[in-house]
Amino acid sequence: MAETIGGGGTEGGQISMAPVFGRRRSDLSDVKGVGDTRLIKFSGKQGFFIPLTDKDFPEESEDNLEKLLLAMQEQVKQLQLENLKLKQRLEEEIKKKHRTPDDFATAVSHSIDSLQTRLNDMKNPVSRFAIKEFNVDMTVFAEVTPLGTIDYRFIAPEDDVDPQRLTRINMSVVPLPKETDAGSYTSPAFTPMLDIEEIQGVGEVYQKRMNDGGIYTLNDLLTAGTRVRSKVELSKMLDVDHSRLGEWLSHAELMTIKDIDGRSAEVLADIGIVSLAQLAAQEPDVLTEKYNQRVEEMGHATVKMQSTEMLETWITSARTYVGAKR
Amino acid sequence: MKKINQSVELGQLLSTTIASVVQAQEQLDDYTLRRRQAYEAAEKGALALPPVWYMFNNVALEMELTSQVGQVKNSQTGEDEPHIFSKTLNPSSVGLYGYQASAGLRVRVDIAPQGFMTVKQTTIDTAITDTSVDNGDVQ
Repeated sequence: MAETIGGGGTEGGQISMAPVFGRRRSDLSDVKGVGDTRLIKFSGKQGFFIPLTDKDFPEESEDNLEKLLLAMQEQVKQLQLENLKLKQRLEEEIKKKHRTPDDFATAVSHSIDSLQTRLNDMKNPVSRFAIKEFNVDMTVFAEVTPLGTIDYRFIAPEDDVDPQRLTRINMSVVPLPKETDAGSYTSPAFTPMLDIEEIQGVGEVYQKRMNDGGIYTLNDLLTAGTRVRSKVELSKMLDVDHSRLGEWLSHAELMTIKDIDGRSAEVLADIGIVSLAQLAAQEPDVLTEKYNQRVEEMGHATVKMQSTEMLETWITSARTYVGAKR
Repeated sequence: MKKINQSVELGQLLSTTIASVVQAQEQLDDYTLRRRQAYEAAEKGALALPPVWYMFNNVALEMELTSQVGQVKNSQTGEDEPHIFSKTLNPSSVGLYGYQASAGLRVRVDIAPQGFMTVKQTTIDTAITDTSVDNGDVQ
């Protein structure tokens, strides 16, 4: 059975109505065909060809063309609107995909770690191989934030980006012996990649402001907050005073230890422990007493008392980080 | 293996290629060990070729890839961690957008022998006095 064609084109110098508009044909309900309707095959489909113009019907043809033009303009307008909405959505998605250098360094370290682990697992009984150098050279879309950090994003081939904002990053990683874990957030005792929203007092508003400045994790905040200049910028950007920012930074530092959540960091700060160095200097029994006493005073149902074993684990992690003897 | 849109974690992708080098070295080691045994088994005064041990002194692997950073949950901490996921270039993408736009990441890995099996020395005295101990310095 023949159907009305939804493709596009002309036939014998005549313009047809169905092909151009497809599903929006109803917009042209008042357009009347001129001349003879014919059965044709178009794009592998059979259908009716209804001419809209014919030299024998100049007035009707002109009228039809006018309507056709108006309908096409309407359709272009709608498509442009759809396109705009899609572009906005794309912008939002792209913004979500932004990564901090910290993220990138972690990703590279995971690749090296995974490669070296696999090399170690290879059961060659005689020779052993190790990575001598790992070099990555990449083209990324980069932006420098007011805090002096770089937001970057890998470019997909189809991305529409300003070529002037493309940057090449070349990084070489070589192995060096490291005797201790001091200064490293070793997994699984540390969780520096926790979201900043976990910090007490960082609500949706501040979280968004931080995200806009390229700060997503505790480590991002600590990196930005430890430089004097960026600390000033950070305070301005978030619209918070220095003391509050200092509180958040202390909490973030303590929360890098696994199992110290926002509430626990708050309790530790209340009893005068505001850094990993201070936590490392504590004795488990004394700290347990002080900590639990403060929890009792606070009387919050969400703040729980901690066992000596748990606090000992925190102290051990802090000592590992600062490089103190256990 | 964790995949994102048919991409593979970069370290894993590279290790599959490097595995073949290690495998080739293993075959060279096997061959040398066999030759050494044959050499040692040869009677005094007989003609025999001393074994030569070949090693891949430096292996460089260079790849051009399309990459993105994706989050993977760490099974120990339960946290999302960033990882680089890569895939080899797609010919249609290269045709459409060009080679340079398609290859966002060039990676070069150099691997070298870290060490090889040596004869374990039992005491310091043995190590000093027994000069016949094979310390593995075969070239």
